[in-house]
Amino acid sequence: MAQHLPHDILHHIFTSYASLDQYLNGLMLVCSHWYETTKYERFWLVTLDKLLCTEIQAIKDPRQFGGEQVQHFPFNEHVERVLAITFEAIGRERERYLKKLLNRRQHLIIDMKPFKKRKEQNRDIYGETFKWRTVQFIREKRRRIMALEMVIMAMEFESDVLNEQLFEAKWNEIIEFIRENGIYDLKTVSNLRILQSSTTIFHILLKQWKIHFKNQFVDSKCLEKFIHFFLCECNLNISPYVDLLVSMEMNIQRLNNKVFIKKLTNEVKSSRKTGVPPKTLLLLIQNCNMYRQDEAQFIRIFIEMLKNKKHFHDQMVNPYLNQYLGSVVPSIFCIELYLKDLNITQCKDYKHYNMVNSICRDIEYVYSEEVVKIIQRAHSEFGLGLNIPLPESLVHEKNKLPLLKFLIENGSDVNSPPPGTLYCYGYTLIQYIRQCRSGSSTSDEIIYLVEHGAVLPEDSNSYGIRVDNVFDAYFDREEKYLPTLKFLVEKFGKRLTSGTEWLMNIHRTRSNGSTIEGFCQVLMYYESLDVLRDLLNKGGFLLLVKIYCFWDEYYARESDVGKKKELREFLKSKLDIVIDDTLIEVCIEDSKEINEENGFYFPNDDEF
Amino acid sequence: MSETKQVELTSKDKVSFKVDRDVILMSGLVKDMLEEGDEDETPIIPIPNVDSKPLQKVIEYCQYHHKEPAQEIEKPLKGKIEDVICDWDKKFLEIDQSLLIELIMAANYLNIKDLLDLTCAKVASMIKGKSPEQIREMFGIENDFTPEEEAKIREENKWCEEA
Repeated sequence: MAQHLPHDILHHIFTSYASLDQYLNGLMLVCSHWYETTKYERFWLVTLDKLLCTEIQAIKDPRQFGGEQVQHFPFNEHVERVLAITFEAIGRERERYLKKLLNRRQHLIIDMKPFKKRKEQNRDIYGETFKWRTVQFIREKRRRIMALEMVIMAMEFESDVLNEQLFEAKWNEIIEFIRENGIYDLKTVSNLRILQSSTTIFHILLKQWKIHFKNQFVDSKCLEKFIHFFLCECNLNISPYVDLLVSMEMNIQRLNNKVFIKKLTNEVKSSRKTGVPPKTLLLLIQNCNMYRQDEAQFIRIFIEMLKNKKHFHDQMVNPYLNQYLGSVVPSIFCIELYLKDLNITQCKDYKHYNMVNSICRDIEYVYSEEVVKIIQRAHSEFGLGLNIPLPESLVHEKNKLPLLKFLIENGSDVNSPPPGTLYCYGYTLIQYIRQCRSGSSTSDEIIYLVEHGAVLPEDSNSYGIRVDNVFDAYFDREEKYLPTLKFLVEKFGKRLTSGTEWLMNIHRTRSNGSTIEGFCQVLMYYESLDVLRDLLNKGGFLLLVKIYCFWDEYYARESDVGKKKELREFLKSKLDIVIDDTLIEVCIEDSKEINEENGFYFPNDDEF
Repeated sequence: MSETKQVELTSKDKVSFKVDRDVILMSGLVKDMLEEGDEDETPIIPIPNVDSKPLQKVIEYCQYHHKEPAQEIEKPLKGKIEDVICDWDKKFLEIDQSLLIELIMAANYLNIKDLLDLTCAKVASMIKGKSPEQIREMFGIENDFTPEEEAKIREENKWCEEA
């Protein structure tokens, strides 16, 4: 009897009450009459609508992760530290997916676009448009669910990752899931996009390892096993992962072997244009330890492969010049790679200044003398130009004098501002003087610069920088301060309004580095420059009292502890500055603000 | 107290059923016919597509549900149909499969939406989780595919496995 139920009733049964998997899997094979029900375009239109509506409803439910089939979203409160996979990324993916579903329903079901605004296709003629759209949607949905199932597996244990044994066991489960999925081949599953278009489960694996174990001494054999699985068994392309792989130092040797190089070469050769995403090389360099020769060598091989492609420079180097320069480190391997292999000087906006500026940026990790050798070699062997303004980045580095000398001796300009800026001629010296605010000593560099032609602008205000009081910013330890200040004043005149900044710096640094004699000499010099009264008017007097009160504790050098009476007498006799007892008592009382947390007290800075 | 108006329905196998007019107005078909016809005291309406057995069940359904409106059944069915319908409907559906199919046809012919929904949902519930072979066996359907045709359909619709 059921064989003879009319199609419209079968249609009603299957599209209204049966769930998708029933009628798609069972209906068509029951008998030819039932099969014919599925030949109607309307059947598929209703089916697709039902599928979309069910999925939209499921996605809108925040308790569900991937839709109706993934019910156990890991919203566990105990998951406190999600790292490689974030809840934000999951939320964004859901939003994108929901939007896509709503658009799709609007387009296909409500607007019936397949039958409007486009040429009729064979599928339309045979009434298979909606069947094809349904199949397309089902496949997308299935893949998303599978991707999310892998995410859940990778996410659930991430906050508990304590050692590589647990990591290995859990990833073995994920790999087993990939192997036994029963629908897709290994490459398809491992290539599924997870949460965003550029992320696969292999990315998640590498990111997790990097987060949890990169800086630990752990056995990386299991990681190598997983890498082998994804790259060799699943046959994933290596290029999308090369930056992550390289960022894990223990793998560079493995990546540098013939198997991977051959695989990478084939990938690059077989693909069009540059063959790999334009940013890959940059990401690779950014993640590579460019102080290491073997890693630079690996990148060299990669560059050689890419160089044969059309538009290599235009697509992979030129657009990212600033980022490439941002990744420069003071290492000859890096410089050679940039100047020789990458030929970065050919970039449209390349400037030697920017390159040198980048090299000088991180010299605190390398001896300045070593950097000199690197730049010297880059200059003589790879054509690095040194007729440039002194790099601005050098100002902020410590131990910079040898490099400064080398650059000036080899043609660097001590006065020109960085190219492309509106700073004034003489900007360099201003920068070195102002750098003293950060507490680093630049006196030797200042003297060297001046002796080699550095000037200060004559204008009192040059492009927003005031230069009539620039020496206010200068500060150094006692031995250096007064000689350098005198040197500058003799050379450029009194560009000093008061010594308040000097007193403030002594107060702040609390370095126990002052002597009565040195301290008084500075005050006398200020008196001779006629700025002392100004100093005392601008709150300097309170600072002076404070320094006097806590002289022994925070300011005096060991040899001058207990001599603060001499200071008081000097101030009174030579400078007519009286610090009376009442003021001292008030100052000490006010300053005894006990810090409950640290258990010590100190003068209150707010007073100044 | 006025006497209730009645309608006489005659089944395909010539069995007559007298039923209250208000009750049988649940049928869209009968309602249309009554609107078109004369205001006889007891109009006779032939139902040539429905045998007496299913027609009796239809009347039984209408008699109950014209006072107790049927609740809408969830779409799609998430569990068994018995979980979402009232006890009376459960008892009502305790019938053999051939009568169920006849009932569906009758509900469709007589245009009784709630009954059609109920019986269709029952069929959907019965085939839930069943293979094509089990469905055939359950409803006594003959497999009229040749092995080649069956293989072809399976091949064409491999994507179903992803659903």
